[in-house]
Amino acid sequence: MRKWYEQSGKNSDIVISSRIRLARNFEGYPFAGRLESEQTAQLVNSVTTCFENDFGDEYSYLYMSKCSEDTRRALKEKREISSYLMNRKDGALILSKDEGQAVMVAAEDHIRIQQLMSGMNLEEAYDKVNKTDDYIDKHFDYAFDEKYGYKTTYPTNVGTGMRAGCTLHLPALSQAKNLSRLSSELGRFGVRFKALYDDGDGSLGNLYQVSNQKTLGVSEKEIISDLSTLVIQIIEQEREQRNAFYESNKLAVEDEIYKSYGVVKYARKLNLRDAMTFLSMVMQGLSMGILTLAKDEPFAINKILTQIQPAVLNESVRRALSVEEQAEIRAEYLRRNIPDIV
Amino acid sequence: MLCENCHKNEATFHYRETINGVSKEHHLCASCAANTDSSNYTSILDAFPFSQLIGSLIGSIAGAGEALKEQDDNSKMVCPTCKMSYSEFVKNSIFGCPDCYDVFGLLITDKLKKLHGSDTHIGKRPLAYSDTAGGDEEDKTVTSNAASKADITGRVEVLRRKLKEAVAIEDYEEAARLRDKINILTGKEKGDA
Repeated sequence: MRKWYEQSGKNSDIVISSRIRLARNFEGYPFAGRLESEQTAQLVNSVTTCFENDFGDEYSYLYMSKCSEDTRRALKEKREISSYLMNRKDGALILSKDEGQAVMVAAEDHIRIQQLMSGMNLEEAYDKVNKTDDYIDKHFDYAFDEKYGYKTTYPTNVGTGMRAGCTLHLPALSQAKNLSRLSSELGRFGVRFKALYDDGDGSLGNLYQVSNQKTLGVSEKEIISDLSTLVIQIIEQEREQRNAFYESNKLAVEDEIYKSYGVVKYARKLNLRDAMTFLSMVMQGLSMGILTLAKDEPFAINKILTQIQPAVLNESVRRALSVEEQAEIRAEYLRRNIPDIV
Repeated sequence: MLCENCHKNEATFHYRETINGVSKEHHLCASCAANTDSSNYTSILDAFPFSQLIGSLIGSIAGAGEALKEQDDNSKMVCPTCKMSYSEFVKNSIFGCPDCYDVFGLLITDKLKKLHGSDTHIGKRPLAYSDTAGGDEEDKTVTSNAASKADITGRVEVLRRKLKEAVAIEDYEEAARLRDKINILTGKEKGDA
C-alpha cells in the first residue's frame, strides 16, 4: 500500500499537504490534565481494544509507554502525534496502514483524529476523519454541550473541535518579503499562519501552515470552504510572484535552481537547514517546469521532507546519531532518493 | 534573531512558557508582539499563548466595585466533579473535565464570543444529540439550551445501545455510568453531580 506521503494531490506545486484534526472527549473521564494514570490506561485500553476488534491490522497500535524517545520524536517529526502526546508517556497512537490517519488517545484531548493528505485535499481528509469520528461516536459517549458543542480541553477548540490546515510552499512570497503582511491579513480572517519547521532563525524550506482559529459558531463545511478560498488566493499570489521573479531574470533563477539541485543530489554532508533550503529551490524548479524528471513519477516531497528530520534519521539507523553523522546520512539519503533530471 | 511571526524584523520580545513540563520559547519583534496582544486570532497558538490571553480576558471581568465583588464570588466556585477552582481555570484556561463546562461555561460566554465570533455551536453533533427529525444543518443551529423531549428520547436510545455494548465486553464500570445517565435523562433518579 502506498503511504499518504507517496501520493500526490491537487495544487501540489504549492500545497504540500492538507490536514484535518478533530478533538473529542468522553463523558466519565476528567480531561487530559487531570487524568490519573489508571484512568489513562483504561481509556487507552478501551479505545484500542475497540479498534482492534473491528479493524484488526487495518491499523497499527503504538503505545507511547513502549516506544523509545527517538521513536516518539520521529512520530512527532512525521506529524503523526502532537508534542503533548510525545511527552506524555502513557497515551497511544492508532495509525492507519497508509499512515494518513492518526487517532491519538489520551493526547491534549481524549481523542484526536487526524488525517494527512498530499496536496490540497481538505474535503476528502474531512470525509475520512468524519467516518472515524462516527465510528467512535457509536461506541463511546462523547462529551457534548447543547450550546458550546464538542467539549474540549482548551476553549480554543470548543464547538466543532476541528482544525483544518494546509502546508504551503511559499519561496517567492517569502523572498518578496510579503509574508508578514499576508500573516496579518489572514489573522483578520481568523486564520493562523506559521512556519511548519522553525529552528528559531525563521522558517526552514519556506514551508508554512495556514489553519483556522475559529471553531465555535462555524460549521465544518464552512471552515473548510473559508480556508480553501484563502488558500487558493495565496496559491495565485505565489504563482504570480514566482513568474515575476523568473521573467525579471531567467538566468539567475535557473542558475540558483540548478545549483541547488546539484547540492541536494551530490553533497556529502547537509545540515537540516541547508537541506531544506536547497530542497525548496528544487521543488520550485520542478513545479515551474525548469527542472524535468527523467522518469515520469511523482516527486514524493512529503516523504523526503520527513526522512531527513533528525529523529527519523536516528530511527532509520536505530541509534542516536551526532549532528555531524546526521548531516552525512541525510546527504546520503538525498543522493539516493532525489530523482534524476533530464 | 528574527521574529518568529514575521521573519523580517529583529526579535526584541522574548518569552518562555512551560506547559506540563514542556518549555517553549517565543521570539517576536515589537510590532508582532503588540499585534499579539490586540488581535485575538493571530496570536493564539494551538494551545497556549491563549492561556495568557483568556486569562487576561477572564481576569478583566473584574473592573471595579461591583465587578470585583462578582469575581470574588466566582473565585470561590469549584467544579464538583474534578475540583478545579475558578482561579485555576482562569490561570491555565483549560477545562478540567466535561462538567467544568456547566460550572464555568456561562462565565466565559462573552470571552468565547470575542475569540470565536460566536458563542453557539453549529455543525456536527454526536449521534446521541442529533435531532430525531433529521432536519438539515441550518435548522439545528438555533436550538435552545434545554434539550427537547424528542432529543432526550433519541439520546436515551443511543445510551441504551452503548450500555448493551459495554455489558457485552464486560466493561461494568462504563455500564454503571451509562445506566446512571439514562436514569437521570429519563427522570428515574436525580443525579448527584
